Amino acid sequence: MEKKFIIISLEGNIGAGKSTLFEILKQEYPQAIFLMEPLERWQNINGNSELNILEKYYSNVERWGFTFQIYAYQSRLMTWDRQLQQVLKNTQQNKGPVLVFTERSIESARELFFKLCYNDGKISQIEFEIYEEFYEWLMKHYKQYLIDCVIYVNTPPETCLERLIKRGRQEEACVPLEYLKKLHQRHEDWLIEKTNRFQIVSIDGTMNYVQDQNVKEHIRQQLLLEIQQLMDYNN
Amino acid sequence: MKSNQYTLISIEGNIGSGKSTLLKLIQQKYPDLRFIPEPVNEWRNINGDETLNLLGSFYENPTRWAYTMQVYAFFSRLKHWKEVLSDPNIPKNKHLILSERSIEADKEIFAVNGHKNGIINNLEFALYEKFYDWLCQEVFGKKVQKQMIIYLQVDPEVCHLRIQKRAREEEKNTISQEYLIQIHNRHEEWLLRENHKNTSILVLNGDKEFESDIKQQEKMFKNIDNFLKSIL
Repeated sequence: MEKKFIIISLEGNIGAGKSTLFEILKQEYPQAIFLMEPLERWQNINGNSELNILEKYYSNVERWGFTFQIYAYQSRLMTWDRQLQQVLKNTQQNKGPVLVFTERSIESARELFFKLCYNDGKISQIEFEIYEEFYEWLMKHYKQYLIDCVIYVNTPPETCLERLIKRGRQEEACVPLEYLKKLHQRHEDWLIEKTNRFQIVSIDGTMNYVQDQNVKEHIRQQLLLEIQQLMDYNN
Repeated sequence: MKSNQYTLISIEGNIGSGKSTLLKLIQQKYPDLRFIPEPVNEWRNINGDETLNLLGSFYENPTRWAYTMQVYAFFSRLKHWKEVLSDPNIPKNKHLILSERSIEADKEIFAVNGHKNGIINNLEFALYEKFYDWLCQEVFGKKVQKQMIIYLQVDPEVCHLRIQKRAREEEKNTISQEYLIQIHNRHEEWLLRENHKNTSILVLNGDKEFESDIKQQEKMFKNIDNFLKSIL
């Protein structure tokens, strides 16, 4: 089957600096599709603010871990599919695959957050097996949504915490350093696996690409080069 | 009939209504129907591991496990359907599928009932329903041309007696008459009162024991043969 999308996912800890990179990419690739993390979809199921799975999850991870984790990837699959199928309808054929940037991915929902939850003993064995079976079956049918490339914003957990405190988003206010450390480790463990089929571009998240124009330019050049190679490879 | 369209025949009915018995008889009479059993053993042995008994957990603590049970029941049925729908070896005249309950019944009977009696809360139901609706559309879309339902209607009290007799481990002490009445009422509401597009329904009374009663079987098959006449 002809490849329809090139999917590049921005991965990194909470507060690692993903949003800033997104801004750079948006300027460089105005034609590309950008899919953000469906946070509000977890807080307002069916547009009803009383149906908030994210809040439930934080209130009792053991009770709601499975329910949240399975929906976290299912909701991504649904939104990606809806938006990307629409894009295909509006694109001319034979123009090559569509370039898509995403904030995290279906795969990282499983590799990072679900597995972290399971490793912490918050998800039972039955729940683990059900999640895995369903996930594997589904993704066999949706291979077009597997990522081709990860841009990994690698930032020490301590720096992430500082940034979180600075930006002061309500729901992140009480993320403990301990959690950021574990999540950081999950990134490291996942991205080092030899079986990963995607390309990895690592960005040093401690560099000041927000204010320092030289650093920003340097990162911009690096991303352009890597993405060009990826496109050449897939065309 | 177009080559990628299917006619689904499902047998619906309460726990203990006699579905398995009826199914065996229908299979004997119509061996050409592609049969999909209820994946109840998969619910008892997640991933083939008998210590992971989801059905057992559900009956022991419904409030904790009803949502998970629905998610898994949906998935396991879907998996079997998908296998049948994408089997390239089915000859054209075999696009008739006979199944023990259906994906629709999972939602209409068990999820809706769980939601009504509170073992599935609003949030859980919304999450379940959102993905259910999306995925059903994805998998079936235009592939299903026609649905036929044989509803085995049995007094819940009779079901209760039959369950005591067969005594499946999980069911013995955990399925109350109260629960059977709820499930019975959901069947009646779904199959007799709601509007059904592209679905024909045969209501078959199964109060009288028919497993070893040939006369009673003949009576029932008069109706079934007649019902299936248009597609066979």
